[in-house]
Amino acid sequence: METLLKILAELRPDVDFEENKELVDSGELDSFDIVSLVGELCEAYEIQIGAEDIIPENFNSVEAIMALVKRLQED
Amino acid sequence: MLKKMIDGQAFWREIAKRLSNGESTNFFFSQEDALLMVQRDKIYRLDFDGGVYFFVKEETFYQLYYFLEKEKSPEVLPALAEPIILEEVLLAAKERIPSEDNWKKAGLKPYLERKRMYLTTKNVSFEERKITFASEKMLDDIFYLMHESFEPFSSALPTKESLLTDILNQKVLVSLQNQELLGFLHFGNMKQGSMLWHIAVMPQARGLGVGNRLVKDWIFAQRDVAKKFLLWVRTDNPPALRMYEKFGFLPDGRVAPVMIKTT
Repeated sequence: METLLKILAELRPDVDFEENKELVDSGELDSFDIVSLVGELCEAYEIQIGAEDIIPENFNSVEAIMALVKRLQED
Repeated sequence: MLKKMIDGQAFWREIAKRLSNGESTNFFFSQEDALLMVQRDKIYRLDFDGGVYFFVKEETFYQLYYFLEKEKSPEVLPALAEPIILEEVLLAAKERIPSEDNWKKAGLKPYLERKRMYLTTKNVSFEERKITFASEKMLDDIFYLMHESFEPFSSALPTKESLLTDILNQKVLVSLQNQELLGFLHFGNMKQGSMLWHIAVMPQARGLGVGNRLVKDWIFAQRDVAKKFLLWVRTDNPPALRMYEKFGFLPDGRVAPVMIKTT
């Protein structure tokens, strides 16, 4: 979780990631953020994020992102 | 050899795979936008060792998108009948990959750079003011001033029809003197806030505070609907940078360099 928070803080220092649970739906994260984040997550956690997983539900909160990472690590 | 893209779903699957592989890119579109690009029938590809270029044909230029594997360099760009424009969005604090030098070797040269700034609504104090939205009869004057004021390749200038729609939807504010146009401000509403798309002042009215008043008008007009105010400003425009800083706008860390290959 610490790694993820660090990645997010570097990507968007102006966003409160612990509070916001609708990061994509509220527009805080846009497509640039998501694309950047996909690259960072794949590198940091050595996972592959497929097209079917690049959907708002997986990026709406820190918890959702972490859940995606864990699921892909277990696959 | 450029090849036309015809299968939108295959295009999106390829993009997702390349993103997942950690390739560098300036392609930040959603699945929906990617499918639309192929539907518009104006996207071509050029494959090379370690990457791919996608060229989107606009009216007077080609917009370039790329995917590049790690450690690979961009290929020399082909000669096309119109200029090629590469617009990237980068995090200012991170190293630029591919570097500007890599792109120069591929045939591009620096053209301009913008940075994004934001202002949080809760940090703004509002004073009551009278604002004027553009009317339909001002369309031609605004459209003309817009095309005279902005560079043609990367300013996302709207068509006349779409500008008219924005005028009718009260997304264009104007400053007038004796019913003559002094300047306008064109904005839009995005999920994350109100975005200033274009602002321009007639040459004879510059330096008189018209732009400053238009920005105040915009903030006042959007005070109840926007939680954030956003804009992109050219980094070679110190007067504009100073004005936005005085309003309290802060850089959010994104920069957008634009490079060009002329014909």
